[in-house]
Parts: sequence; structure tokens; C-alpha cells
Amino acid sequence: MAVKLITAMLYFAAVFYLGWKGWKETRGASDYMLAGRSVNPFIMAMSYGATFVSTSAIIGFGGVAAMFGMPLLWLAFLTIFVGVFIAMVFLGKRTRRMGLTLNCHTFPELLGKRYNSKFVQSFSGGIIFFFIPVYAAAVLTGICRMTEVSLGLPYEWMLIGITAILSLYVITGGMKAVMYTDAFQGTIMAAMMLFLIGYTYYLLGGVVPAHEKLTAMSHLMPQALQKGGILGWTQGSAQGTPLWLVIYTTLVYGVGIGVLAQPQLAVRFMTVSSDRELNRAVLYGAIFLLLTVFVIFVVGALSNAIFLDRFGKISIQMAGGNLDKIIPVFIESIMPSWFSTAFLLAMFAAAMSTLSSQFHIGGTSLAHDVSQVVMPTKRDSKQVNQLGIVATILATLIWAWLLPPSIVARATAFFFGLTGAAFLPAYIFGLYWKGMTKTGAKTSMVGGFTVSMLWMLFIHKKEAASIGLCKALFGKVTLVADAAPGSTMFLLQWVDPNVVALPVSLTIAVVVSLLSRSLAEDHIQLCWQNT
Amino acid sequence: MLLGLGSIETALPYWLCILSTIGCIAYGIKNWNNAGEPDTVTADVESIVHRSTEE
Repeated sequence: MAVKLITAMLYFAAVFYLGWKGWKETRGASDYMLAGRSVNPFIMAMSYGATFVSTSAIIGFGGVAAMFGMPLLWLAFLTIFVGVFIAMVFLGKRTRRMGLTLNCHTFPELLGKRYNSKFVQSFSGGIIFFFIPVYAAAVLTGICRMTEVSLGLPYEWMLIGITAILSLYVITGGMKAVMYTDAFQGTIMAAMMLFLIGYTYYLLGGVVPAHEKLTAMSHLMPQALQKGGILGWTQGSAQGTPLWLVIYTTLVYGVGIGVLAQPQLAVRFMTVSSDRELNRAVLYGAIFLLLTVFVIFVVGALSNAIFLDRFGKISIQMAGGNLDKIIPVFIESIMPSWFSTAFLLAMFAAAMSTLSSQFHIGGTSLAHDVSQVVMPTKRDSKQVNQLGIVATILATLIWAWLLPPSIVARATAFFFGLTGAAFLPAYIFGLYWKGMTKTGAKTSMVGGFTVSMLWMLFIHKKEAASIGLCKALFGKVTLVADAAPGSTMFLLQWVDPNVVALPVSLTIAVVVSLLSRSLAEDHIQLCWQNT
Repeated sequence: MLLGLGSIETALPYWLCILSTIGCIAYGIKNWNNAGEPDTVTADVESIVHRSTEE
């Protein structure tokens, strides 16, 4: 316990120093919202990665990989190729250049100024402010539960304590404090994950022997998962089965493509001073995501082979049926004792880096994109943003206290579903298609948001069941729950909202833009002036 | 090539993760000093004022 507390104190000392450094270097609104547009590429890339990869991604997805096996590596591949290469090279550079030309400080402001629409800006800001606290509540409650178990401190104390520490440096130091601490936290995460995969392969006798052991265990795959379509941890899944749909639509497509429309990530492209920084960030970002996402999927799957060797059980049995306990049990029972402290620190770092960015983007969205657009004020911009962040933090605390765990657990997927469908077409066409009109952007955003929301409330089983609105209104968990089992209609319950809502949003964007009045030629020229 | 994995469905993304990371590293090194076309606009007035007052 003493080692854990000393390590935690050293960690917080470093976080406070970096938060203080961010505060000291922050002067105006540009520093507060965009870190002065002059961030080092290593810091930018680590902040981007650490914001994306939260504790729930490592613990939760690691547990999912222990259940479903290695097909999840498609998601790791997409996060590296789409989330880093495509995002930074094809979206990042244009976002930075257009954001600079239009003097944008936030993601909603970029969309709003690109389409010359206050509605687009405030609607995007409203979605972010309203829904990001739920996503943040999921991350916050996750890390509080983990530290409650590990350090033995009361859950409510942890909730207040972690929020207070984050509030201190996010409210005072703005984006610089957020990004400096993110980079430090990301470095801790990467180092721990590197050790984790190295030790796991070492225990199993090397890469190929480890995989062969897991391959030979396919007959031990639980019956329920076999019925759902999983053939084995390294054998993949049978096409068209419910679990195949979960893996490839929700996890791979939903998250892998959804990463492109994450406002808290996209805003980071505007924090660097030239394309050179983004080119360098591609290198750092890919290594970070390989060390985090790829590693946890591989280790999660291989945990079955190690548990079988040591205890004669597979991972889900070791964790007493609780998927979220697989990785913590693996760390406690398999890894060296010093590593459990180090890993807890890495999980703390993962949660704090994601939370700080969520608080920051929620606050700036409310203050800069909703409040200043709907009710402009002459107050100092930094102060208004600080008030926005306070509101986001309070909303997160309220959600963390009020929402049942089943809803909080779906919050990440919920946020990805909404932002993907609402923002992706307007964002990508906004950067690359001069013919995208203001009406096209408005209808695509509202249409994508609505379809995604309806799909999650009434069709997609995981969200619909945890929210319970469909059950309350229609007396059944989803609208297609009573369709013939195995039919296409029945399988819709496992199809991710983005699979339906994103094509709808894209179609609306193209069709409405072709039919509606173009933006003024001089406005388009202004937007493209620096691209 | 399958590295002991039981199907192409899992071996392919395993390799793609590693190869795409190597590709990203190569891209970063190749373009390490490539700042692209110089910006035709400068950062907002506020940052310029702050920088000049700091100097």
C-alpha cells in the first residue's frame, strides 16, 4: 500500500507541475482553447492518442478480446490506419489550414464558419456539451471503481477527489495544461503496455508458440459464444451471425470509423503550427496506438492461454463471468507484483487524459459555440470558457451519481454513434467538397443525429435495453425483438447505429447539397484560400 | 505467415497493424521536415500580440 501511495504522489506531483506550466503559459483565448496553435508534434500525437484511449478502452476492450479473440485486431488496424494516418494526413492538414484561415478555435466553430451558419455551430456545440458529460461519466466511474478496489478508498471520495484535481488544471491551464498532462500520461501508458505484451509472450514461450496454444484451445470457447458465431480465439467468427455483426459493425466499423468524427480529437489538428508537425505526429501516434490498442487486444486474447496453463480455466471463468474484471484479474494474478501498481497508474493516466479533454471540449462547446452564438457577451473569452468547463464538470458529476451502471457502460458507444452520424459527412465534405451547401450540412447533421438516436433508442439492443424507453412505450426491448430469430429483421438488433445512420447522413448531405443553393463564391474562396 | 493464428481473419489484421505502423513511421521520417505549402494567412491577431508583448 505504501508503494502505491508514494507512486501516486509522485504521479500527481508531475501532473500538477505540468498543469501549472500550462497555466503559466496561458494568456489569451487562443492559448486557452488551442494551446496557442504551436504545440510540439510529440505532445500533440500523445495527447491525441491518450484522449482516444481511455481506461474503459483498455479494460473493457481487453475483456472483449478475451471473449471474442483476435478478430478485434481489425479495430486496432483501423485505429492506426484510419485514426492516425487518414485522420492526420487527409483531415488533419486541411482542418489546420482551414481553421487558421477562418480563425476557428473549436470544432463546432470550424463547421459553423465553413458553412457560414450559426445553427451548425450551436447545434454541434450543443450535441457535444449535452452528450460528452455522459461519456465522461463512464470514464470517471470506471476509474473510481478501479481505485476503490485497488487502494481501498471510498468510491464517493475518489469521485470528488479525481474531479477536483482535474478541475484545478483544466479550468486554470486550459488546452496547454490538458495537452502537457496528456503527453505525460500517454508516455506512462505506452511504457506499461510495452512491458505487458513482452511479458505475456515471454510467459507463453514466444509469439508463434503463444498463438499456437490459443489456436489449440478453440474447443474451450464457451457454448453461448459458439452458438453466437465465434469459432475460436484465433479462428474468427462465422459470417452473418449475431456476434459477427457485433464485432464488425459495432466494434470495428462503429468505433474504427467513428474515430474520424470525434471533436475532441479533431480540434487537436488546429493546435500545431504547420503540416510538418502533423507529419511527425503520424509517426508518434501510430506507435502509441500499436502499443495500446493492438497490445491490449493481443494480451486480452492470450490471457486465456495463460490462465489455462496456470489455473486450468479460461479468462471469463477466472473473472467470475464479469468481462470488465478479466484484465484486472490477469494483472493481479499473472504479472509481477510491482506491475499491478504501475498498471494502476497507467489506468489512472488513461482515465485522466481522456477526462481532461472531455471537460475541455464540453466547456468550450458550451461557452464558445452555444452561449456566445446564442447570447453573445462582452465578458473575457477565457472566463466564459472556464464557466463552460465548470458546467461540464458538474454535469459529469451529476450523471456519474444518477445514471445506472448499465447506461454508463453504453455511454462511449452512444457518443461515438451520435457524433459519427451527425458530424462525419459535414466535416469531410466541408474540407473536400466545395459544392457542399449550408442546407446540406444542416439537414445531414440533424438527419444523421435523429436516425442514430432513434436506432439506439428503439433498435440496437444494447442501448435500447439499458435506456428502456422502447420497453416503456411499446412493451418490448426493441421494436424488432419479436421478429423470427435468425431473420434479417431480428439481426438488426446487433447492427451498429452508424451502419444505418451514417449512410443516411451521407445521402442527405449529397442529395440536399445538389438541390440547394450554393454558398457565396467569395466565401468558398476564403475557406479554400490556404488549402 | 499465419504466425500460429488459426485463420486469415485474425492473421491479416495482426500483420496489417504492424505494417501500417511501419508505414506511418516511414511516412513520418520521410516527411520529417516537410511543412507543405507555407500558410497564406497568419495566426490570429491575439496570438501575435501576445507573442510580441512577451518578446
